[in-house]
Amino acid sequence: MYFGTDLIATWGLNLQFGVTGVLNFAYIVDLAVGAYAYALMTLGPSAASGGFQSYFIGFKLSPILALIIATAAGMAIGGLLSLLGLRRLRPDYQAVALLVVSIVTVTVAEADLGLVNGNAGLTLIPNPLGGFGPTQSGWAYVVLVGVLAAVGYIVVRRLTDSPFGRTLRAVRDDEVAARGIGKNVVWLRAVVQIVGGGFAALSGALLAGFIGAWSPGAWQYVETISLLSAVIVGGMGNNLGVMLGTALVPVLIQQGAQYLPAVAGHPGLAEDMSWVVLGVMIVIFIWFRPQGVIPERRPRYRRLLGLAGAATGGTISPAGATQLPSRAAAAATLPALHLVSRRAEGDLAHDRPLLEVKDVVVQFGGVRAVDSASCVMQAGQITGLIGPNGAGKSSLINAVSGFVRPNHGEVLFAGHDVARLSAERRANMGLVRTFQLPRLFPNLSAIENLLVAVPNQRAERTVGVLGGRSVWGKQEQASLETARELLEIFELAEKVDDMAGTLSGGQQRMLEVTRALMCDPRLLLLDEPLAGLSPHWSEILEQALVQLRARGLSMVLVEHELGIVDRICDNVIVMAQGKVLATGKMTDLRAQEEVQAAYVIG
Amino acid sequence: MGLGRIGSGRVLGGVAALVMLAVAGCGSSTTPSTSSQSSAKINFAVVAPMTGSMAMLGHFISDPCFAAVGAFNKAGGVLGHKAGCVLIDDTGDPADAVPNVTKGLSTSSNLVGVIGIDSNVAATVVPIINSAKLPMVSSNGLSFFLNHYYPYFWRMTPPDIAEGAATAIWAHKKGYTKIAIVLQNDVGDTGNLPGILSAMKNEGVKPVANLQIPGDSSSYDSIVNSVRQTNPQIILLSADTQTMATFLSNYKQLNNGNVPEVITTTQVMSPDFFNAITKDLGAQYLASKVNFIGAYLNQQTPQYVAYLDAMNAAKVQNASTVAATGPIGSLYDGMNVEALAMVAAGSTKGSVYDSYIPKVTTARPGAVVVHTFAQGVKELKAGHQIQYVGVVGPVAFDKYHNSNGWYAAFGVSASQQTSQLGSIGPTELSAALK
Amino acid sequence: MNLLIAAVGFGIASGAVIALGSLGFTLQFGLSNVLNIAYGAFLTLAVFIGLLLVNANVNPWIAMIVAALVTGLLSVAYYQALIRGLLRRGASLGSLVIATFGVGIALEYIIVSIFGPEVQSYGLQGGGTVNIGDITLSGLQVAVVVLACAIMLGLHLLLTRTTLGRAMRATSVNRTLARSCGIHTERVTQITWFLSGVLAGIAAVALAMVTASFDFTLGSTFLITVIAAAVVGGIGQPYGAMLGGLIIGLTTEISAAFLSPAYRDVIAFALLVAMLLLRPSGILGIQSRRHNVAG
Repeated sequence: MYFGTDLIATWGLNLQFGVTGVLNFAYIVDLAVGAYAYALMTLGPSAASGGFQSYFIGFKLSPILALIIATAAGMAIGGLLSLLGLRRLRPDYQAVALLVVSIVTVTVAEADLGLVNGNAGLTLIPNPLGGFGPTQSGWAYVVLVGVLAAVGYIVVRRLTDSPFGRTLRAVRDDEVAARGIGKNVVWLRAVVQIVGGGFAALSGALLAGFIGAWSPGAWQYVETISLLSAVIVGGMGNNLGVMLGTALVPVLIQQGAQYLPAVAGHPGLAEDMSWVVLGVMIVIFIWFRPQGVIPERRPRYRRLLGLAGAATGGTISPAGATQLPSRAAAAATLPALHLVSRRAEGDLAHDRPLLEVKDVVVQFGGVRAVDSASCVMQAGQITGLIGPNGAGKSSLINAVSGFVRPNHGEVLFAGHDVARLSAERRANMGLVRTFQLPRLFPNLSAIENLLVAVPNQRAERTVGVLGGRSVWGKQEQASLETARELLEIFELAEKVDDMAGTLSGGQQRMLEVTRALMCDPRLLLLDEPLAGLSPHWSEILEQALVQLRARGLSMVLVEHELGIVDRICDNVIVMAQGKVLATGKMTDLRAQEEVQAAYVIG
Repeated sequence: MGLGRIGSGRVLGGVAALVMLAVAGCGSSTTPSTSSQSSAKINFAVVAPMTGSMAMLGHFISDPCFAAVGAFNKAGGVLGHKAGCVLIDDTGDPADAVPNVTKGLSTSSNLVGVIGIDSNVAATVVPIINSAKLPMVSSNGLSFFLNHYYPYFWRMTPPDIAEGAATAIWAHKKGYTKIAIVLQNDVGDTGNLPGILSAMKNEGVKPVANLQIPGDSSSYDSIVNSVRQTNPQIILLSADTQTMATFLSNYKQLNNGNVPEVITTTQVMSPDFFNAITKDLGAQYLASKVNFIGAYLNQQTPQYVAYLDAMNAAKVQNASTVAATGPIGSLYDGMNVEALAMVAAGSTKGSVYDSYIPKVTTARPGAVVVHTFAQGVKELKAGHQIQYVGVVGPVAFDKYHNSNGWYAAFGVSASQQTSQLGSIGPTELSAALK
Repeated sequence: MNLLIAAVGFGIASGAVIALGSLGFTLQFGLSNVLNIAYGAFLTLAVFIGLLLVNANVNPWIAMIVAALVTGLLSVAYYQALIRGLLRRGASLGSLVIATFGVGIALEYIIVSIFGPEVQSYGLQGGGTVNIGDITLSGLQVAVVVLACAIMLGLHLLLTRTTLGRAMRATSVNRTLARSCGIHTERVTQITWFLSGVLAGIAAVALAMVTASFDFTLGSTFLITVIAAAVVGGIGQPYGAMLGGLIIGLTTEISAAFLSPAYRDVIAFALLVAMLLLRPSGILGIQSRRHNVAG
């Protein structure tokens, strides 16, 4: 029974923390809200209880309705908590803020005797199956909780073991990169707060109905940490692991003291020692096996994609595709690139510049990193952006891609001013970037890094994903095809199932460019893609960029190494000290003295 | 609040409870009961907070159990069974108490009776124990049980509302009119307020201050400041030990060392409290200015001597002080009553002996008055009817199994010896509560 | 007598202790980005070390110093043995918090099993009542306020006038950059953990002196106030912690004097929630620090 309710709660928490990386220290508040909501919905008016417990309102509704309302209340609170996320606080600050929310709520509930009867809590809460208290229903309640836990498992599985779960994991691994590929991180986090809140509240309501009582002692902030320890011990991100953790953690505790005899004069000793045991076990676990008993596992695609050296054994069937043609079509590289520049072709039809930067100022404290820069980038071209260190190239890229909001100026993308739009909005419009130091999702496999970048996934619509594979399977299959071909072009096919974090520097860079291509970009902003690359990789990348241009893709190339700029850039913008110094063809620029001077100074 | 209060939290207490629920699901059939021929050990459960911020209370509540089973075993056991105590941690919190109690009831072997169950958890836990058909003697003060019937629930001490009235009556008896009321804002302590106000109204006195304070705060300076502005002669103070000690020492520090008299309840009448007050306000203050109101208990009786002997034999720390409070005494009496009812019924099975509880306590013609378990067994064996009169005096259960007895005021000497200062009878109480 | 002014006096007195406790907490967070739940257990530990000494007839102020130093050393040891190792193993923020929770709970219950759950007291007699206008404080409170001010001034000088202090601030803002500037960040971090342990020790013993009575839950209860104060001021910011402590102290005492005393803590915390909504990074916090993108 408790296992069932705990499980519902830890699955919800795993969705938030394990999968999405939202460290919600107020999770227990969601749970408590569910419990109190259930209690108030089912209890009659306070006065009817003979005045021995007081609470502000009582509805005396049917328990089943109360369970539903309680779940909804938890979702509402989850949504409310996620508003904190709107403030774009550093994640650790946000964790502390949520911790404080948790503390405050429980303090209020304890101090206000008229709200929910203070620290004594509410009691005589009707059991959903009739009567009061755990002894009334016995096995029937276990069945009820079991059924709801099973439903919960189906829901949480559809959310986590699907392309949607992959997107959530991307948010967990690197928030910035996730925004860079057009994921609305704030919204995704809100979704898991809301869904997780519903899980917590359902768990709380079931507990309150079973126990027949609910009080502040049951939802002190440390209870969130207890639940978290079950998630971590079991295995973050793995629903079955979390299930094991939920079973294991209490056992660890019970073992500590169960058989110590009662002693007159020190009756609490055994209980005290069990807490010591718990504390030590948690530390030992986190030290020696931080990934948990059953670590998170990622689906494998190698065999499915018919790639060489298929791994054997221990593979999970990947979400989505069932079968794909073998590498028959992979020999021809050019057609594959065609797949990733569908939207870009449309831009060629217009003669206006694809991107126009007007008077953009980016200021950090007193320093003007970009100082009234203006420039244009044409469709179908590779535009070079060069300049010495500290010239403001990266800051300009940040301003264009939306990672820094310019203090002043306009950024016109295909005629629209995007200067005030978020990075994810711009990425979805086709303004996609790579980072100076590759920002991959290190705990996703190489191919997942690509798949996650696909825009407008049907599985990312929260309701859609609950429909299961029938909703998103077809789209996923098409994405897999594209991803497979891209991996072959960029010589990453061997690494398809390797975690991105384990790839070499060159491979990571290739993977990041590939991922950006999966976004179906119209303008690709490449921030020093060649820096530190071996000649082998440089050549592959250079060829690919040229071919992409041939397919109509527009690109901006920030580079130090002038050789490649010479070879492939149509037009070049030179920056120094935050200003645009000159624009034109590389051959012309080389002649200009001030450009030379800037480089010497730099 | 804080780590100390999580008790065996839900998650953490959870799964072991799953296993036990499988057993508990079969209901009372697992409740241990054995025929009188068997010499299997029987157990009494003490339901009390053993961990968390109320853990001290649990220590005291468990003492009379150990004392009583010692006396039972010395007298040859209950129907031939050796008796023992099982401690069930209710953590002082209902949501934590339920899993612990359900688990305790089903995993402890041969449970025959229960004592304890403090006010915080009683309303939640009593129905559970009731449906397990285990007779329980509780010292909780919830008014809830004044009009809710549970066949297996018995209470030998009056409820909080009467305790509140008794406190105010005692202040009146001492001749004070400037009375401040300061209560910790939890159910147990604020439960005294209606009684206090009703009694004061009856006396035609208005409190000069009536405040509720949060528990275990690090300072009560501002609250103390507003209380001392009213120059009370006496403070009716009900809170846990730490809260009271902090409140009073803040008072002392802010009022040039002068602290008015205090009337509190016997809930805190323990060495723990005495030591804290002695350290912070001096032994003199404790001896001359602090009175405790609680269920009546007469220290000048032979049964008290036997009780104290039993407490000492069980190696209870500070036995003479712990023993001296009504609630603890009533739990010791409760143990005796349960055990005597078993002997009278010839069964340790709760569903059988429960109805014998009034039969061994009610005064009636022909019943031999007994004061200890051993005496009772002897008289029962001789075929006599008995009336057990224990350390809290004679009891008479009403239809809700409450026994509205007397209240007493206690004082403590500088050497921490407690003594009874006076008593308040049922007639005074019912007049005050009209 | 003016109740408001009196309440302000009490607010300063309790705020001073909160500020000290909060400083230690916020220094740890600032330097190591660790939300150290075990801090509460360290507070309790310091109080009980102090109790051992006071019971052995050691002067309470000396007991405070000794308890603070011992707590400081244990704090470094704790950092060295556990936190640093976990950070090196790349433990996530979440698992770090849970590990500190594990340590905290183990430590707290070790203390209980040694000292028992009884209410304890140092048995100090308060040192008379001091009246300054409408403000009434005990001599002990005045002493604690003076001590707290001296320590905060000392910390201010340390942070602004010494190489160590500058190194601490630099490490707190950007560890990698500080290291590349030649700062021995590891040593700086160790010293910070020592300092925060010392501050915890002083705050806890001072609290126990002023509160008079305490039990083993002192640390975990006070931790909540400490976290609140740190967040109000801007977590990780030493001056924020000082300010936050004062604000929490003042609001609790003033609301206790003028509103229902039972809501003493609630009002302070309600303020905190409002603060979080309006300015979640705290009064002195860095507002919405942007992620460091591409250098």
